[in-house]
Order: sequence, then C-alpha cells, then structure tokens
Amino acid sequence: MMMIRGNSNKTLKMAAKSLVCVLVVLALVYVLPTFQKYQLSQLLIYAIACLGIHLCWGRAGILPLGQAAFFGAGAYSFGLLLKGNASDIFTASLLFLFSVIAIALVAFLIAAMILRRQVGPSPQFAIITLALTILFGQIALSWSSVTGGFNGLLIPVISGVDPFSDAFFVVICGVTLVCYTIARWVGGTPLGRLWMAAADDELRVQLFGFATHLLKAICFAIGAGFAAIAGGLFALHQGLVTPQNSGFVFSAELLIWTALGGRKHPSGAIIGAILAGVLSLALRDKIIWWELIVASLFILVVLKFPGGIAGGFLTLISRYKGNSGNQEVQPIRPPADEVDKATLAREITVQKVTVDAGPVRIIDNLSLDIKPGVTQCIIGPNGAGKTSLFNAMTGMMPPRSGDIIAGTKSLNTVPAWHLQRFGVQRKFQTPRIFVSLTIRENLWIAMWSKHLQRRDYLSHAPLKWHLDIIDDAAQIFDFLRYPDMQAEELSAGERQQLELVMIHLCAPTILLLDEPCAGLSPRETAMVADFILTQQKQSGATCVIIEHDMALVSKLAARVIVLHRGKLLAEGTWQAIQKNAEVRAVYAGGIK
Amino acid sequence: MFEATIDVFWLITVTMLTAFGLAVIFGMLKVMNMAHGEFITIGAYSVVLIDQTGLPWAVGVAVAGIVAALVGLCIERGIVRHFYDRPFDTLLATWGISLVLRELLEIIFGRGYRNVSPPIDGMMPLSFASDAGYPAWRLMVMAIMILAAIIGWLWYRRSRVGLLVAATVENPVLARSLGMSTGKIKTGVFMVGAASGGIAGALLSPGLRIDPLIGLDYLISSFLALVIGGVGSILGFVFGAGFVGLTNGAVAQLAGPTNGYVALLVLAIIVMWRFPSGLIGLLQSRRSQFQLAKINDDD
Repeated sequence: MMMIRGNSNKTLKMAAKSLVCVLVVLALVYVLPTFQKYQLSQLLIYAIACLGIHLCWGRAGILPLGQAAFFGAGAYSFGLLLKGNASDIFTASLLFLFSVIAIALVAFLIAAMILRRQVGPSPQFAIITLALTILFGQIALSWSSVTGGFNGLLIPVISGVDPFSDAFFVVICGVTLVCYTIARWVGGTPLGRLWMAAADDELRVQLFGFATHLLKAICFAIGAGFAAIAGGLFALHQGLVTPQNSGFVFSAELLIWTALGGRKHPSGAIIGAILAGVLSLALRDKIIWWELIVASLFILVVLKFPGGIAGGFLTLISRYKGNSGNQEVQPIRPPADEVDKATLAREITVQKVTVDAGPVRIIDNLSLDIKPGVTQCIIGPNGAGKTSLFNAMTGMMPPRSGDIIAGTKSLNTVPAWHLQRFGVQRKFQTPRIFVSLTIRENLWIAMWSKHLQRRDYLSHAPLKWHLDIIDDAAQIFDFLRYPDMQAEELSAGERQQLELVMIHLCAPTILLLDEPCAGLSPRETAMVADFILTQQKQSGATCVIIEHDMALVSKLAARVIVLHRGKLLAEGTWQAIQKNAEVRAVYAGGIK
Repeated sequence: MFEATIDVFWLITVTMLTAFGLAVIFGMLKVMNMAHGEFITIGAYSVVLIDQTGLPWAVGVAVAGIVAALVGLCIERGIVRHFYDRPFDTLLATWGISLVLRELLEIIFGRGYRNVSPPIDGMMPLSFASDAGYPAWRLMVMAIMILAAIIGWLWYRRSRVGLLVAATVENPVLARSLGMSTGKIKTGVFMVGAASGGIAGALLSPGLRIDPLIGLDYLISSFLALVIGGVGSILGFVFGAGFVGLTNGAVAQLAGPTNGYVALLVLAIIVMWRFPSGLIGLLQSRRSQFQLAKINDDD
C-alpha cells in the first residue's frame, strides 16, 4: 500500500513538473520576439553539449577538453549525409540519429582503449581529447574538398524546417529538456552512482568486480552523443558549419561554461550555457578584457567553488528546506546471484613466486598454501613482503616468476575486476571507501558487486536492496545507523569498519584483510575482531589477515604464517609459532 | 637524402627542446602543465622585443629564459603550489592560466605574425657535389642543444640538487622533516621547467611565424612525446621525442602535416592502450629482468 501511494505521488510530481516545463516553453514562444528565440535556441544547443561535459566531468571524473570535436563531427557528418540524400524531414531524422549513434560508438571505442590501463583520474586522457579536437579542426580546415575548408560547409535546406519558426524553437526546447532529463535520471541509476564511485576510487570499484574503463567509456560516449546531437541541431540552426565549430577555442568555451554553471548538477550545464552566452553576447565587444575575465573566473571556480552557480543554489535551497532525507522505502532482497559457483575459489596456492619492485627483490621464491575455510594470519617484521604478497595475489604486482593459483585459475596477470568472480575480496591497509557518496551508497556498491545484472544498471530496484549482514553489522558499528551521512565525515577507524563491512557484503569465499585493525582503539579492535570471527563462522570463508597485534593474532588465527625477507620462515598453530626459535630470533631483532 | 636526414634530426631537436620543460614538471611534480606552450610563446616574443632594440640574439635567448622563469615563479607561488595533490585541478588551473596568458599576449602584441631574423645568415653547404645547403642557424641550435644536454646531464648526476629533488618527490614529508625546504625545491623545479620552455621558444624563434597561438601545437607534440616514450626517465624522454620527431617528419613529408598529426595521435592511443608506461617501459622491464637474472646467477 505504502509503495503504491509513493509511486502515484512520484507520478503526480513528474506530471506537475512536465506541465510547468510546457507552460514555460509556451510562454517563451509568445513573449520573446523571433530573433531572441533564434538566439536562445543557439544557447540551448550549446547547453546540450555542456550536459555531456557535466556527465563526463561532474559524474565519472573524466575531463573532456575536446567536446567540440564531437560537436563538429555531429554537425559536419549530418550536413554531409544530408547533401547526398533526399531531404524530407523523415529521412533527415533517420540520418541525424545514424550520425549521432556512429559518433557515440567511435567515442566509446577511443575511450575504452585509452582508459583500459589508466586507473584513477587521467590527465593523459584529457589531453588526448584536446589533441582530437585540434586534429578535427585541422582536418575541417585542410580537407576543403569535403568540408568546404575555411568557408565552411553549407547545409542543404530541409523542406519544412525553418530555424526562425516557432516550431523549431519548440523542438530545440524539447530536445534540451529530454537531454536534461536523461542526464539527471542516469545520474540517479546504479550506473550513475558507479561513475561517481569510480571518480572517487577507481581501483576499489574494480575490486568490486566492475570493469570501470567500460563504464567510463559509456559515460564518455553519452557525452559525445549529446555533443553530436547539439552539433546536428546547430547545423540546421545556422545552415552553415565552419572549422571554428570544432576547434579547441570552442571546446574551451563549452568547458568553461559548464564549470561556471556548475559541473556537478545537470542544471549547471544549462545555467552556464545560457548565462555565459547572454553575457558574452552583451559584453564581449564592449570590454576588451572580457575573455581574460572569463578565464580568470574559470580558474577561481575550479579551485575554490567546484560546485559553480548551480552548486551554490542547491546548498542554499537545502539549507532553507533542511535535509529532507531519503524517504523510507520497503527494502527488498537482491535476486539470487547468477555467479557460476564453479569459478569460486576456496584456497590459494603460491608456487615458487618471486616479485621484484625495480631492483629490489620483495618476495623470494616463496611457496605456501592458503588453506580453505580457515582463518589464518600472516605475520612478519616490516618489509617481510606481506602486503606485497596480497598485491601479487590481486594482480597489482605481477610475479616475475612462479604461479599464484586460486582454485584452478591463475591470478598472475588477472585484471582487478575479475577477482570478484573467483570470490576474492581485499581490504586495504589504509581504508578505501567512496568519500563523495553516502554510507548507504557505499553499501549499495558493495552489494551490487555480486548481484547487479546487466539489466539492473539503469533500473531503480537495486536502490532498495538490503542484506541481513548490514543489520548484523549495525548492531556492532554505530555509524551504520545513519546511512544518509556522507562517508567523508567518518573517522579513520569508522572508514576501516565501513570497508570491512563492504567487502563482506560481496559474500567472498577468500578474504584478504590487510591490517583491519590498524589505527583502531582497543574497544574498536575488539568489535572488528568479533565481526570478522562471527562472519567467518557463518560463511565458512577462507580468511587471510595481515596483523601485527599478537594478542589479536592469538585470538583470530587457527594457523599462522611467518614471512621474513620475502621467504617463508615458519607456519603452524599459534602455540607452535610461539615456541619456534627462529621466529623468536627474528622478532628479537636478529637477522637469520 | 642527406638533407632529409638532417631535417628529421632538426624535428627531433625541436621536440626535445620543447618537450623538456613539460617532462621535467610532469615527471617530478606530477603536474600536467597546460601552460607549457605559452612559456614557449613567451620565449619567442621575448626575442621579438630584444630584436627590436637591436641587441644580439643571444641576449634575447637569455632574457627569454629569465622572463619565462619569472612567469613560472608567479604561477607556482600563486596557484599551483596549493594544489599539488589534486592532479585534475592543477591541470585545469594551468589550462585556465594558458588561456589568460594567450589573451594577454594578444592584447600586448596583437594577432598578427611576427618574425625574427636568424642570428647567423647563410646556408651551410652539406656536400661538395651540390650547392644545396642547410640554414646555418639551425645547425647552430642543434649544436647548442647537444652541448647543453651533455653539460646538464653531467652536472645533474654529480650535484646534490638531483638527490634533493629525488627525495622531495619520493617522500615529501620525510624530506621536509630532514630539513629540506621542499616548497622551494618544487618552486625551483617549476621554474626550471618554465625557463627551459622559454629558452626553447627563443632558440626556435628565427624559423617561426610567431603569434599568440603557436604554443598549443608544441604542448600537444610535447605531450605525445611524453606518452609515447614514457614518463620519468631520461631515456624514455629521448626515445619519445625521437619517435615524435621521426614520425612527424617522415609522414608529414610524404603525406602532409595533417596526416603526420593523425599518425602521431593514433600511435599515442595505441601506446596508451597496449603499453601504458610508454615504449621505454617495454625495454626497461626486459633490461631489469636481465640485470636481476645476472645478479642472481652471481649468488
């Protein structure tokens, strides 16, 4: 009953919003004189391209310095397609769609290739996009037999399409609203949250099983698609495309407008394009220093006010309204996962593994077994190679020789996002969580790692998922009772605990925990140890813990592995290790 | 044929000269300095100004270095310094700075082309068989660069500066606690990068049609050299610059400058896709494996 009312409320709200939009557009049609409508259409077209920048930069953390390349590509390709074909509206729309999709696909390919090996924010990718736009401008200029060179490409007239007509203005408004709605909606879907998480900490998202370069490439493709739509409309609007419409100066303008308007919210793109457009039309010729002022403002906004105008407004509104918080929704259980049980590993075999970092040998011909279903601790003095062993097991430091085998699969050069398939999860020594998301969203992303199917990426159902482990954990860790808190506000200890809970949500069969209690108070340490033990008992997972606190080791470990200088020094029960003379010698400061 | 070879060498020289500053600042400070091209432009315009006063070209080169270093000082102290741990923001900020500098140059000098007369006239005959020659000043610039590279490298290897910079980059907190003024070291590195851009612009100025926008192409080709060669090693830098100069020269001569650019960009994308640490990464991992194998055999 609750759910139904909630839904109808939502529908009502949406209907009201669309009605307001329609009324505003109609009002503009009647109030504005024809030429101003024509000018406003142009600014709205720019706003569509800026929406693409918002998605890439504000959501996925990709910097598109060359948005104009795709704008120009959209304009030129649409113009060229029109030239060779019949020009009724229906054919024209088909050609328009075709060129937009083709451009988005090319953008996807380029981004997927480059981002494949780039984890985290990539200045390199940003500059490649800048190089693309410079190249595109050059081609438009020099390939004059096709593009018309410096004078530009004349766009053939489509019968019935008049850029000065009211109908054209309404269509532009409609397309802008549709693009805005898409940008806003996709930001709220699981895909949008994964983009934001990847912008925070891409490696962490990869370890949750997501091929982030593909997700980011999708974002870049949508952004390029928006630019291509804008470019095609621009071609119709102007009847002419020139090399300037694809050059780096125009790219810079689009990026600056988005930054000033506010890159983090789709409304920022529209505010930025319209405001900057209106102001520059009015002031560009009156003030010599205009471009200088705009560029300086850009620097200021990037460094000091990343939210831009829209960000400022939204903070004001939320302060005025108070935090409305999320409506309580009926939680639902995620569908049963379709992970192939056969690929899940329960034990890891390390066979004669050697790992080097530059000239230093970190792990030296090491062989050991991680036994299934047991909690085991790895101890050893600093520099023994403990964390490096985890790095080698998770593909971050590929061994120079030897094999690391999980179940039947080799982990030597496996990409980070495949580990989840083998059931391997890792917690880092310095906690890695998504600071720009809420606690609830952090937990979602962990839950999605196992259960998100392809069809779920754009669905809202995964935003209601809930697992019992969260309730269990909330009994122990207080901060989980405030799921709408920003993860940024958590203390270092709470971050450790959040990451620990998150990796347990993936139902791993092998847990690699790197000092899960580092920096915790004795009370917190006891809570964490308790959680790890309870969960291990319930799931029967294999648990490997790197730990320095010997009291904790004695409490947690059924089996202890001692590493020293990259070699196995001893292994056995805690009692046996305690009595081992060699281990004692090492810990007393001796060198074997 | 001989002339074509020298031409390719010239292009490699140009890439090395222009890319050095970008490589230093990105390699050591992890800042992608988008205003690098404008340092080159500033250098070229410095020579234009000095040329008008009638002072010799060498003075112009020196002034170019000093002016660019001072601009670099202002940028580093004023803006970049506060954002070293935010790679995107330094990129965008320096990009904004490059727009500002371009606008300023346009306000001061206008959009028109400027020229500088070469410091030494005449052509150097390249063979006894023909009268064809090569511009003498270019040969001089190549000689200057090779000399400067050798001296600079020897100095860097022997001086303490190299060690201090390495320590600052590797572990700034520790370096500070050991009494190194890491802030000043970083400022110094940034200024060296800026100055080398200015000097490059000055050295190349005689062959350029100087306008406020020339920096951008240099930024892109320098960046491509960095990506293709690999960041962080001198060998990688030489390799990358060589590759860019070679490809640019060969393809541009055969199929026009736009196709040269296309070839470079495609090459860079493929390198980023297959060999993220650059072409030198391939060689180095082989070499270090080889060295380690040798060490282990000695055991």
